[in-house]
Amino acid sequence: MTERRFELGQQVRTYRADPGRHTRLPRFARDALGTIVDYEGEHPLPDEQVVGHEVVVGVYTVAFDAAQFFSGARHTIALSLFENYLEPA
Amino acid sequence: MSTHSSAPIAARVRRLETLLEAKALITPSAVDDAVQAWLSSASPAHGARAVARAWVDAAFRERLLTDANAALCEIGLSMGGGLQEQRLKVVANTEAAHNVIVCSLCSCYPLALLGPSPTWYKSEAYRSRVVADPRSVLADFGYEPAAEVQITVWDASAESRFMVLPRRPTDTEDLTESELAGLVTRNGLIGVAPV
Repeated sequence: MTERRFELGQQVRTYRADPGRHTRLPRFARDALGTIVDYEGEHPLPDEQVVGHEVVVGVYTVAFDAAQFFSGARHTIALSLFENYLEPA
Repeated sequence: MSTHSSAPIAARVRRLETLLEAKALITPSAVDDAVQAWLSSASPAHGARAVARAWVDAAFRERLLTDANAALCEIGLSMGGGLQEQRLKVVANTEAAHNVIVCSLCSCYPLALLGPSPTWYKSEAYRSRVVADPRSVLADFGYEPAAEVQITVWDASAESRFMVLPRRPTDTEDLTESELAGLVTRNGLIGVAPV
């Protein structure tokens, strides 16, 4: 078990770039501010798995204010995101 | 709108099955048998049973919300059955908060507890609309939460599966646990309707 990169309650930003290959970061959630609400354990990163590499990383549940993505929205969207998609905000 | 049978991935899977059979690596019925064995143990009655227990047992409810996989074990259920046990996160509806689940990227679903997913759950219309405007989707299902209710859409974009713990209906104090389980609907477990 490696050390966790993020703490519960921490603000994070999702990456902006289009990776140009398989990823599990939904397009609408790129370059967005969210809050870590849960830790889901370590799992193989699909972006690497798809090219034959086994890279196991932490997965976090991240809550986003949906108004960032959809104008006028007043709800929350919670996504399960691999830590490679996140950086401290 | 594409369907499962017309999607490119479905064609690839059919081709792979054909090759495996042609090379005698599997028998023609092997895949069907494996799928059938998995589905026969998957039913929304399981999710309903977990919910009913949580309604009558506050300590179980707490365990279900903090470590759902362990809580399921207590009542003889599991998120296994596929290639590996999946992590389950149960999210509770309250007077102030309503939850609904989706997989915006594909069709991830807590199959072991809810059985095969309904066709609409896999549709592009549901997957895109519930993320952008959950209230309009809930309204389509005949449910209009009060304006002050905070709605959270849980998008199963990685390894976890989500299930909603609906609120216990009023005037059900006299019902037994199994009668309560009978009230729980699949739509309630997905979160597109109350119970």
